[in-house]
Amino acid sequence: MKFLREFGLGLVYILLLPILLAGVLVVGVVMIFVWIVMFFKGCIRFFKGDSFFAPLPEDEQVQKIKDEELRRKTEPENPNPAPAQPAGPSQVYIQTNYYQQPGQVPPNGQMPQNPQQNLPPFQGYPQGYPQQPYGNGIPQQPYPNGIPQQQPYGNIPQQQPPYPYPNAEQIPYSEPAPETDPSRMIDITPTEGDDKQ
Amino acid sequence: MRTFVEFALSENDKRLLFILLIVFLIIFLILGLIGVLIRTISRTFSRRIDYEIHEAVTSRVITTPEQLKKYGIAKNNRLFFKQAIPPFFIMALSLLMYLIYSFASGIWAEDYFGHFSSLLYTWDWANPENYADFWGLSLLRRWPPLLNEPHFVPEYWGAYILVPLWVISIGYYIVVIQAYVSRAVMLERRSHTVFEKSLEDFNYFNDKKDAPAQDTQSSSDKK
Repeated sequence: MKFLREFGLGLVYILLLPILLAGVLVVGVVMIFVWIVMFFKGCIRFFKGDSFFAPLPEDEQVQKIKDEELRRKTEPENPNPAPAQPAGPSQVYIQTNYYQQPGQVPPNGQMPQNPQQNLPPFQGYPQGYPQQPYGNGIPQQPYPNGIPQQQPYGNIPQQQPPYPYPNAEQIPYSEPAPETDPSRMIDITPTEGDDKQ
Repeated sequence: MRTFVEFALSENDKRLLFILLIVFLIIFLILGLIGVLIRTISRTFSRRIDYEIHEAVTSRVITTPEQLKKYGIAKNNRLFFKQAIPPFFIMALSLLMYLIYSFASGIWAEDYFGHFSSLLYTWDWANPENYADFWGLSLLRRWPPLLNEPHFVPEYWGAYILVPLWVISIGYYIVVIQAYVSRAVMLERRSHTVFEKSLEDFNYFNDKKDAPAQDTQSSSDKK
């Protein structure tokens, strides 16, 4: 049945063949001139250093979309994500400084001794202390040119734990009223015989 | 029983009529098959425009039928330019050969196709003695005698080169033009179908999305 339909349409095409041929002839002649114009325009563009055909704006937009999709597929959202910080107490570095002027000697004639001075490195320091901070001993003159002006512990990181009950009702603080009930008051006035105890 | 026309056919006429019927049937079949071939080739060629405009349409860069037509015509012209390079190259080559041959022989107008026919079989189709008169129709009575058998003539070497080049380039160009026209027809069809808004399966009262609008209208009527 389909073949018969195609066959019938084929016969229609044959009947219309003179018109089709005339159309093809006209288009063919016109397209010769179109081809020649395109050829010379393309040659001019080519010898100017451009591509033979001028890029169509639609093709440029399609290329942008394709490039963007390719970039999204090949590159992750954040190429270098920051490592997650483990939750825990913040480390506080405590440094004990001994300030001593040149030539200054303690009254007893002995320099202050660090009880941990003779221990091998990395032993005797609790967790959180800097590793190998001073070698085998604590420097005695860390600031020979004077103490630099800076805020003490200005760089210690402060970590405040979050409030555990964010939905709890907040009650503002108010000064308690002075007690006026005598029965709830304690007399602390010294009386006789207190000195004897 | 009344008879309006009386036919008196001899046995010879009956045979001729039967042969004519068969010949017409064969011609009818051949023409139909040629039409099917033309349709198939056109359909095959026209699919190429879908490939050319597919990305711009599916990525929603093209938003109007006019833009689609303009873009499709530009793409079709560029494709035609590329496809027409071989036949035009062959034509240019044949023109160069013609100039060389004419300049060398000194003859600028020759019956090239006549010379080339020396390589073909030629029958005496023009002789009226080979035809018979049948009810006003001039029909071939016998196969015409052979006038020429293929033979090579060295003087016609120019025609042996030029005529094949012309035939190939013209045939190739006709195919390219047919493909161009087929793509243009398909582009025209696509510019309608791609942006088609059909209400084929839509009914205002059956669509629940429009129910609130209907209720609002009815409530305002009540007020």
